[in-house]
Amino acid sequence: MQKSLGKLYLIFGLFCLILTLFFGVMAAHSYIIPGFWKDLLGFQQLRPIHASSALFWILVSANGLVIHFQTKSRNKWIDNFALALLAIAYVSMIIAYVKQDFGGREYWEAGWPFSSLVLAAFVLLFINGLRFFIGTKPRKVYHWMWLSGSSFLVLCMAENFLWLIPGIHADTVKDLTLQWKANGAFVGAWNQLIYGVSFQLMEKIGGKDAVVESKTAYGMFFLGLFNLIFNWGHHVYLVPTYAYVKFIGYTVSMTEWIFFIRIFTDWKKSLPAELFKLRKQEGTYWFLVASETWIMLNMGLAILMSIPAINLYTHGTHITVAHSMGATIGINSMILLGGIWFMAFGNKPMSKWNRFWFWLSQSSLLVLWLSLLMAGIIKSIWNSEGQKHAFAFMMQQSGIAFKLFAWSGSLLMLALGAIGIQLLLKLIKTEPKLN
Amino acid sequence: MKATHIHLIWGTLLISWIVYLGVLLAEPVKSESLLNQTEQQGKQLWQKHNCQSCHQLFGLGGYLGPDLTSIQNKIPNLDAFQILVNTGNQTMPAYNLTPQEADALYQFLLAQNRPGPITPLNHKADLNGWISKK
Repeated sequence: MQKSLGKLYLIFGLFCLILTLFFGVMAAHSYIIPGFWKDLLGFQQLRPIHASSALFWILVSANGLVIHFQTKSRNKWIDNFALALLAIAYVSMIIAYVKQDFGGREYWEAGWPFSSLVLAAFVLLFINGLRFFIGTKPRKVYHWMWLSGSSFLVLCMAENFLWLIPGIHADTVKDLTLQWKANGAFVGAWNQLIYGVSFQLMEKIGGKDAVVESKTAYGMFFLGLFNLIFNWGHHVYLVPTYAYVKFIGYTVSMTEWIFFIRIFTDWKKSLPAELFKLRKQEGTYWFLVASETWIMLNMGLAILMSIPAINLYTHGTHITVAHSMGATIGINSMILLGGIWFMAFGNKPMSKWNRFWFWLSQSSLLVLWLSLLMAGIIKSIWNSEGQKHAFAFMMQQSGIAFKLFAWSGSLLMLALGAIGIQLLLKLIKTEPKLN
Repeated sequence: MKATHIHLIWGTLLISWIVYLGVLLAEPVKSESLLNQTEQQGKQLWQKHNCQSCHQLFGLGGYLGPDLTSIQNKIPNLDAFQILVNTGNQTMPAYNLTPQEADALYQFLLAQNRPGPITPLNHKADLNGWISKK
């Protein structure tokens, strides 16, 4: 029997998921217990451990699912070597954080030699992805998404190293602009991989075959790629950067209304009574419906935040965190879990306990998201009043929001942890079926 | 959709990415955003101690501590800054920086404010959603 090349990636990815949940909850407790673990593992260590684990969960699992579905033309050794590089990079980054050996940038705080291993792995994955792409005909929209995702992961990761050029390091405005550009587009790149997986899953579990082949699917794909390249400018309205970057960012971000309306109508279609009856037992279906719901909520928030007049108040507040957590957990993680669920359990009905964990994860995520919005609104008001009270006073006022954030985060850790551990054990024990 | 059309659009978008990056790299340096030697050393210390984990510059970083883009409004002089970074507080660890290091870090943070702060107070919103300086 042909073995899945993506299996090891997914085992590694799920391991990172469990760690990111644990360290995320620990970091969240720093908000409600000042000085929490300060001497053992302070917030300046917990945050990068949590963020890097989350990045590796998403990047490694997205690539693992893509590799699993790309059953031909891939070179096994290249994939295995790329995985070894990613594993070495992850372990060495965590050791560096624990030893407080920093020197890198936001999300890649452990210094450039560590992140260069990740770049090398992306180059290898791109080479293998290209081999698959060339050897596949007819090509579907998700093949293009995977090629775009792996190409832009390489380009954006390489862009992340531009600060090493002395002229850029010494220029505050250029450096900040490029950092936002690289980080913003990087998220767009992994979304291409993940949305490609989502299209593939829709095709496999049935019901949306026509959507995958339609002109609209290509239209949405190109619009997504266009936004990846140009919409990051909405992050820099408050950076004293070049005016055209802000203008392009604002204009392109508003094209996301097209996605929003389209996704809203699709979402309504995915919930008719007969489809609900047919699929209510299947885990993959529910993870995908959850992701669509979170896309809608987060995209609504993202579009509002992309309007400069609103961004002026929300930038640098927990509203931004609500958006990023909503997107990485609600959208990315739900699609990834749906994909891994499909690999591990196929169309088998979800057990009562799993339905419980699923709904606990959704409800606790909603409370977490709302609590972050609440903390963000309090800070926005503080900003709009010219920060007339001390920062500590404003943080104290946000106390209830942070408590809700830490408690709902703990429940989310339990729920997603239970699902993640089950999937991890299932993948370790059995060989997933190909197709 | 025809394969040639897909290739053409995809290629155009890829070239757009390269051109946009090229345009940004070619932008001349603004004098107020150029860091001197001391400020660059301060920037390296900012990275080395992962200050961005808790603090932000222009909104980029963590939210446990205050944004330090306009530091002179919060910590008005180097002495106060040196005491804070070397003794820490309930949430912030003590960093034991030398006087030269503390000075470099403080100079770097002061330099962030040179291009001018952007806050809701010195901006007004236009009807089309755009913002402009008052």
